[in-house]
Amino acid sequence: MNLEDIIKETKTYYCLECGKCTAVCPVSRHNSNFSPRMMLERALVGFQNELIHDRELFSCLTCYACSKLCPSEVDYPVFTQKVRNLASGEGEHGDCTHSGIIHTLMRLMSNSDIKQKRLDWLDGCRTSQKSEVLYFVGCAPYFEPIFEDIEVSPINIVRNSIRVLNALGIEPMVLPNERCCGHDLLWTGDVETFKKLAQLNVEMIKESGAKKIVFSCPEGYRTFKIDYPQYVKLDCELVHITELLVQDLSKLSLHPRAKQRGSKLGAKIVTYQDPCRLGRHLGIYELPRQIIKAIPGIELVEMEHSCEESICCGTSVWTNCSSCSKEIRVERVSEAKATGAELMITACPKCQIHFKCAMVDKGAEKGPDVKMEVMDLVNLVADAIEEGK
Amino acid sequence: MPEFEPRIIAFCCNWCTYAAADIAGTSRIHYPVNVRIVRVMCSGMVDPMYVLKAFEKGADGVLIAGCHEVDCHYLNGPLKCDAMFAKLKRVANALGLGDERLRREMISTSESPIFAQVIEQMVQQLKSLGPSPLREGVKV
Amino acid sequence: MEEIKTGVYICHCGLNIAGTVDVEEVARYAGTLPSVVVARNYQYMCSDPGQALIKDDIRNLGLNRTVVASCSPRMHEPTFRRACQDAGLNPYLYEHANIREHCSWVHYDKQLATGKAKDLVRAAVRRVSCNEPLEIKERPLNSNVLVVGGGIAGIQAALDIANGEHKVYLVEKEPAVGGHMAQVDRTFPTLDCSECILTPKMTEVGQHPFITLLAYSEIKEVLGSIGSFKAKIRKKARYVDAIKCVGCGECEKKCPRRTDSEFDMGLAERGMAYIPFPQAVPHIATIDRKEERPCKAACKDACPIHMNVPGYVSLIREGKLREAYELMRRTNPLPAVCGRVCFAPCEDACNRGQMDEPVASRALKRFVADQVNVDDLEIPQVTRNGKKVAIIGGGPAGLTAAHDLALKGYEMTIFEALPEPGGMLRYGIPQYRLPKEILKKEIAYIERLGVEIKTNTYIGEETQFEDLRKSYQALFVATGAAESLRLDVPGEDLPVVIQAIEFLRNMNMGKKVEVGKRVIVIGGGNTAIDASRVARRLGAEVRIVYRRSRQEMPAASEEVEAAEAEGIKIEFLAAPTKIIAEAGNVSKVEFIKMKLGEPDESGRRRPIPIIGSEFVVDSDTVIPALGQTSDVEFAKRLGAKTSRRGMMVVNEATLETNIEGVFAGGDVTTGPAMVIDAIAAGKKAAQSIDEYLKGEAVSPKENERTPQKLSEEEVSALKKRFPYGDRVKAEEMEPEARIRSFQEAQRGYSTLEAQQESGRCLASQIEGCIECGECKDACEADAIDFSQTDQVIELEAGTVIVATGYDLFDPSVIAQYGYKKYDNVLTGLEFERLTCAAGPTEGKILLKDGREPESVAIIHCVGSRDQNYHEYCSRVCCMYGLKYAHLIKENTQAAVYQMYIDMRCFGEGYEEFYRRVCDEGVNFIRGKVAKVTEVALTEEEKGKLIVVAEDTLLGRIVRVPVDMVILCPGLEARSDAEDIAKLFAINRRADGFFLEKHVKLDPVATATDGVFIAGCCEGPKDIPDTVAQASAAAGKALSVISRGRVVIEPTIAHVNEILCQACGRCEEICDFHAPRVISKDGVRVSSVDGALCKGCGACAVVCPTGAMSVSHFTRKQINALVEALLEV
Repeated sequence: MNLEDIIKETKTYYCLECGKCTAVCPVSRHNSNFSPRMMLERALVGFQNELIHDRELFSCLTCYACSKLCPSEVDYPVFTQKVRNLASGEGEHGDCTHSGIIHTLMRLMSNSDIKQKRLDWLDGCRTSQKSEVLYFVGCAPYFEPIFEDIEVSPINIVRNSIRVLNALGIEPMVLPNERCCGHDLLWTGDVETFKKLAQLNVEMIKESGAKKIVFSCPEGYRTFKIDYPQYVKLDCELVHITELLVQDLSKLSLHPRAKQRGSKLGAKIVTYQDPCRLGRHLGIYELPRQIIKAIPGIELVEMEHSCEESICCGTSVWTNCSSCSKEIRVERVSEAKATGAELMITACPKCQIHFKCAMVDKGAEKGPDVKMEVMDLVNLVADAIEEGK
Repeated sequence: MPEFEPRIIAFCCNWCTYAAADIAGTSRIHYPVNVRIVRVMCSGMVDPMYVLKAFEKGADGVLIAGCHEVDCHYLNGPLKCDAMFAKLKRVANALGLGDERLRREMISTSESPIFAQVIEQMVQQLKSLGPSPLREGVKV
Repeated sequence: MEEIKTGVYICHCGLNIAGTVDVEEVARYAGTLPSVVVARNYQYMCSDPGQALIKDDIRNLGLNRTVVASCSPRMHEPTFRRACQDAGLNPYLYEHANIREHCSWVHYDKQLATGKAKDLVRAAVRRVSCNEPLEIKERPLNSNVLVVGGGIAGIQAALDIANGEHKVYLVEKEPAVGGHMAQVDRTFPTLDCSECILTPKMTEVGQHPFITLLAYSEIKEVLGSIGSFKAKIRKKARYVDAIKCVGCGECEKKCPRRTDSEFDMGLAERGMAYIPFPQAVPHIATIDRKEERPCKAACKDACPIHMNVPGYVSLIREGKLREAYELMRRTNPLPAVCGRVCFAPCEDACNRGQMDEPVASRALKRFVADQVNVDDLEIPQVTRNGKKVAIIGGGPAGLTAAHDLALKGYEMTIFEALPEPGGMLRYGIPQYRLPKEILKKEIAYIERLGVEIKTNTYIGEETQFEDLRKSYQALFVATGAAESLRLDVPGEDLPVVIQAIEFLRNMNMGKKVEVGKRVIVIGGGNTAIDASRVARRLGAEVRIVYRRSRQEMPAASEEVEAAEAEGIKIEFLAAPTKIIAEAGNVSKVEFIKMKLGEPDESGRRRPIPIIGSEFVVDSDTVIPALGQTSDVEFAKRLGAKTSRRGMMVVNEATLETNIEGVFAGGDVTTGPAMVIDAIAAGKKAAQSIDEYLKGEAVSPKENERTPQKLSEEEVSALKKRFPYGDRVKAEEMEPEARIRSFQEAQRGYSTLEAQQESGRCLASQIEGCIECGECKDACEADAIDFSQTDQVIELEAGTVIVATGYDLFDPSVIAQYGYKKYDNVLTGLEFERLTCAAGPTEGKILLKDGREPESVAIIHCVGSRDQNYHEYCSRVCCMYGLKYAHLIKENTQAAVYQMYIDMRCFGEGYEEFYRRVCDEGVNFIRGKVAKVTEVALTEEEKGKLIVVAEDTLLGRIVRVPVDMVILCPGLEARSDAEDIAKLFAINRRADGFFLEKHVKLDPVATATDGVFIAGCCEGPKDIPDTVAQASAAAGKALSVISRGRVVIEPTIAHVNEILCQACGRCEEICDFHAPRVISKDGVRVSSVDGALCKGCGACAVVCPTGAMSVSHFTRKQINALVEALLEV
C-alpha cells in the first residue's frame, strides 16, 4: 500500500488543517516536535521520505483522541499505522523500549513449529479442553518476568480472568501454543509478521472448535475484532470480559473488601482509567463503570478527563517511550490523585505497566511523588468474589 | 545429507573470556568451528535482547561468558549478568527454548582450555538437540 | 546521509592466517559485500606498508569506514586505529575482525575456517557501518591534592607534592601529625632516633607554604571524580583558639582531670586539655571535651571564691583525693575549716538540687581535707620580693590575705589582739562545730609559708597604727566585728547577763564558764544558736527568744534544727523589755509580744510591739546575741572613713580605704558575715595589694557571678539520663550523746560514702572535660574557648592520596599471653615508650614496680601468621623485636630471649643487624609461645613470668622464667578502614587492607581513578617501604597533575535526554556512581560523569526506554554484528 492509498483510505484528503487533532493530542501537548496536522500535511504535499524518517512518526499513541474530534473524520491512527508500515520497509522502527526485546519475542512467536511453555500458572483455575468458550491469554506469560521489577503481574490478571469466568460458570479453554495477537507489530508496521501470527492463531482456534472468544486485554480484543478481519477469516463471537460480566453481574456475589489477607483491593474511593483500545477504539466506557459500581463499599469518582476525553497511559506499542510520555503519565496520575481516589482501576495490563513504570524513582535525588496504587478491573472483581467465599 | 552443524553465538567479555579465546588461539587449542564470538566489554553489558536476536536470526545456542566475580574489571559485572540471565531464561523457557541452548559460563584469561571444552560440549549437545525451533522464521 | 564506503583488508600474518584461511577468497568475498569499495589482502597488515595500504585508500578512495581482519584486536586494534587517524579518518570508524586467534589458529579445516573468516569479516563490515565517529574528551583538572592521614606516609607524600609547588590539604584525625612513627623510639636497623628524623618533616609540613594542615579533622563526604573531587571535612572543635594558643602547656598542668595518654600507650597520663607530645605539630593544645557538661556548675558561680566544686568532686569520684585536695587549696587556704563551717552557698545553688537533692559538696570538701595531713604538705619555694605587708586581725580574711600574698613573695606579718589567731573561727565557733586542732593545722601551714603572726598585740596600745604604716608598705585591716550590740533594756548590766560573743569566747579560751539551770538566749542568728547549744552542753535548759518569726531567722536552718533536736525551745515574736534581778543569781525577764509589719531595709518584716502583751519569764542566765559591730576607734583616729553603722568604708571593688596603701575587708567593712565571705575579702585584698605594691593601677574585682538554673526541659531530660538518688547522709551523733560532750557532732564521710556522694555530681559523671575552667584561668593567652563548635570545611582537589595507616593488633584477645592480666607483659609500642628518653620513664627500661628486669622474653608473631587472628605476616615484627633485644642489651644487664617462628630480615642492612644482635648474646628460641603464666613450678620460677614454648630445634618444651615479656603484635587494618573505603570507593582485601589496582604493576593506584594509597593502609610495611610508597603515590598524583587535564575515553555511557525518564535505574546499578539523576534546567534527566564511567554497560541493560547506551557498543552495533554473523 503506497502513500496515495493510505491518504485515500484514511480520508486524509478531507483534512481542513483546523488543528483540532494537534490541540487535543496528549503528545503534542508535551512534545512540540509532534503534530498530527503537520504529519498529514507532509503526506498531502508528498514528503514521504521526510514523513517516514521522522522519529516522531513512532511517537503517536494511536489513542484516537484526535480522530474523535476531527470534523472531517480523518482516521489519523490508521494513517499512522499504515505509514509506519512503509517506514518499517525502510528499516525504521522508532526507539524500541526494552531494547526491542518485546517485538523480537513477538516475531519469534511467528515461527510455526515452536512449542511454548506458557501455561505454568493455571493452578486455581478451572479450564477445559472441549469448551466452546476460549479465553485468549495474550502476552502475559512473557510480560511477567520482564515487568517483575515494577511489581506488575500480568499473569495475575489472566489467572483472575479465568477465575472470574469460572465464577460465572464458564470453564474456558486456553491454547497451549497461543501466539501473540500481533497488535504491537501491526502498529509498528511489521504487517508481515502480524499476518503470520494472525494465521497461526486463527488456525489453532479453528482446530479447537471454539465458538466464542473472551478477552481481558483490550488490545487483543481490538486486534481480533477490527484488524484480523482485514487479513484472515474467523467466525467466532468475540467478547471482552467486561461485556460478559455485565450480563451476569447478578450471578456473582461481590463483597466489600476485608482489610485482612493483604487483598490488593485496598481503596474505598477509586477512579477509572479508560484504556484507549477499549474506550475510544471500541466505545466501551460504561460497562467497566457499571461493574465497579456493582461492588459494594466502593465509590467511583471520575477524573477531569474521562470516557471519550480520557488521556492515554502515555506510551504504546513499546516505542518512543520518552520524557514526553513520562510527563503524560505523571499528568494523568496527578489527575487521578486529585480526585481523592486511593486506587486507579484500569482494564488494560499495559496501562498498569506504564503507570507503575512512571512511578519508579531510584535516583538519590527524588522527583515529585506520583506513587499511586494501580489495579486491573479483573483483579478488583476477583477479589470481590474471593471475599464472598 | 550432511550432519547438522549447530551455530553458536558466544558473547565474551573483553577482559577474561575473549582473552581466554585469544590464548586458546596462541596455544593452538583447537575447538569446533561452529562458534562466532561477539566481543563485549563486560558480561554485564549483554542485553537479553541480543540473545533473543541471535535466536531470531538462526542461532542454535548462545553462550554468555565473562569473568569470575573476583576478577571482574568492573567490580560486579558477573552478578549483573547473572540477574539478566535468570530473567532471560524465564522468557526463553516460555518460548519453549530448552535450557540446553542457553549457557552462562565464567571463564578467566587463564582458562582457555575450559573455553575450548565448553564450546566442544555445547556443539555435541546441540547436535543431539537438532536445530533451534526458532530457526524457521529466519528471514534471509 | 553520506554514502558508506568501506575498505576491507585481510592479513595473511605470514602463514599464521593464510595457512588455514583462504585469504584471497575472503578478500574476494568481502569485495561483494554492500558498502565495500575495496577489499585487499596483504602479507602483514601491521607492517608499515600494510598500514600504508589503508592510509592510501582512505585518501585516494575516500573511504569512510575500514575493516582489518587479522590477529586479535587486543593486539593490533590500536595500531590500525592510529593508521586511520593518520589518514584523517576517525579511529572509531574502524572495525577489527579476529581471524587468527579466533579462527586460523583454532581450526584445521581450511574450508570451514575460511567460511568462518568470511562470517567474521561480513559481521565487521556490517558493524562498522553502524559505527560513529567519537572524540576523546578532556576536562580541566584541579591541581590540589588531598592527602588523608598525617603519618609518615601522608607527611612524605604531602611534602613531595608541595615541594613540586602544588597545593596540598593534609587531613589528620588526631590533634597532631606523626602517626605511629612519632611513638617509635628508634628505627631499625640503623637505630637512629625516630623523633629526630621525623620532627623536621613534621615541622616542615606545619610551615610549608603549599600545605594546608587540617589536624583534628575528619573527612565526612567525598563527591566528584578525578580532576574535581569535592570533599567535606569536619574540623573538630579543639576549644582552644589555634591562633592565640602558644603551646605553653599551662592548661594541661592545671587540668584536674587526667586520663591515659594515647601517645604514651597509657603508661602516662594527660590532662583533658593537652598537647599529645612535646614535638607535636601543630603545637597547640586540644581540649578533650566529649560532651557538654550536663549541669551549669552553679555551685562554682555561687561560691564567693568560686571554688572548683565540679573539679574536686569528680576527682573524689575517681578516687584521686590528693589531687582533689590540691585543687581545693588553689583557691581556698582553709579547706578543712570550710568543709565544716561554711554555709555552703554551692549546695543551695547545686543544679542536682533541681532534680532531687544537692550534692553535699561541703561534706565532701571536709572528707578530702581530712584525708590529708596539712603538716605533711610541701612548702612551695617562693622567691621573696622584700616588700612587707602588715595585716591587722588574724581572722579568716587576714589569714587568707597573708596566705595569698606570702605565696606571691611578700613578707607578711599578722597582728592579732587575742592570744591565738583565727578570729571568730577560733573564739566564736564552738569546738563541737570546728575542732580547734583542725584550725591550728591550717594556720600552721600558713605560718610555714613564712607568715609571722604577732598575737596579743592590740594595735593602738604599744604598737600604733602609724608605726605600722612606716615599717610596712601596705596595710590590710581585717579586725572583724567582735563587739556585741547592746540590748538597751533596763537590767542589761546585771551579772546574770552575759553577751553571747563574750560567752563563746570564754568557752573557747577554756575559761571556766558557768550558766544557771534556766538559760534564755535572745536573738536569731548563728551566734544565738551557738551560744544556746553550748549552754545546753553545759547542762542548762535553754530557750531562745527571737523577735521575728522562723522565716526571718538569719541562722542556718540545719543549725536551728540541730538545736531543737538537742531540746532547745525557740520562742518567736517576742522581745525583752527589762531584766529584773531576784535573790542571788535568779532573775526574771520581761518580754513583749511582737507582730510583723512592713519590711525594713534588710528586707525582713519589721517587728512591732503589741501594747499590753508583756509577759515574764524566769531565768538564771540571760545571753543576748543581737549581733556584732566593729571596733573602729583606731581607724577613726587615723581619719579612715567609717560608716554610721560602725564599719570601715572601702571601695567595694578594690577594698581600698580612703587612706593610701591601707586596705580593709571582712566583717570590719561588711558587718558580721560568713567565713567564706571573709576568705573572699582576703583574696580580693591580696590581689589589690599585690597590684598596689607592683605599682599597677588597682583593678576592680567584680567576681560576682550569678549561678545558672537548669530549664524544666533540661531537668526532665537529665532525670531520664541520671537515676534518682538521695544524698548520702554523713553519720551524726544522737542528740542525747551530743549534749553530753563538746566533741564534733558531725562525723565525716567514709571513703565509700564520699565516692557514692561524689558520684551524684552530674559533672563528675561525664567522660572527658567537664569545663571546670581551671585551664581558662591558667591560660594567659586567653585561648580557651568553650563556645567553639565543629566546623565543616569544603575543599576541592584533583587527586587524593589515602594514607590512613594501621591499627596495632590488640594482644589481650590472646588470653594465654596474659596481656593486661600481668603487669609486666607489654606490647611493642608500650616498650617503645619505655625506651624513649622523652617517655614516662625517661628512657629507663623498668618493670612496673620500678626494678630493672633481669630477664626479658620477646614473643614474635603475636596475632600474625595465625589462622585464628591474621593469616598474613606483619613484616616488621621480627626487626623491631631484634631492635628491642639490642636496646635491652645496651641499657640493662638482662638476659634476652627471642621466641620466634622464622626470622624474616629481608631489607637493607636487616640481616646484618640480625647477626649483630646474635653476637650480642641474645638467646633465640624457635617456637611459637604457648602461654605466659605466673604459676611457678620451681623455686627459681617464683615471682617470675614463665614463658612456655617448644624449642622446635631441640624438640623440647622450654619454660623460660623472665621478669618482662614483650609481645610483638602484628599490624591490622584500621577499625575505620571500611568507612574510608566507602568514601573513596576503594576496594578492600579479605584482610581489610586497601586493595591496589594491580598487586604487581599498579601498587599505589586504586579502582577509583585519581585516588592513590600509600603506607600501611595498603598492608603492613616498614618505614622505608612506607616512605617509598608515599613518594610513589605522590609521583602518580604529580603525573596526573602535570598532564593538567582529565582525558575522558569516548567508549562510555551516554544519555539520550529525549528518552530518559529519570527513573534512576542506571544510578542504582552503577558501581562507580557515574550516572546520577539531576535536574537540568528544570527537567530531571540522568547525566553521566565521563570521568567516573568505565563503560561496562550495565546501565544500558537496565534502561527501559533505551535512553542509556554505551558509545561504540550501542544496541544497533551489537545487533548488526549478531545479525550479520548469522546470515547465510
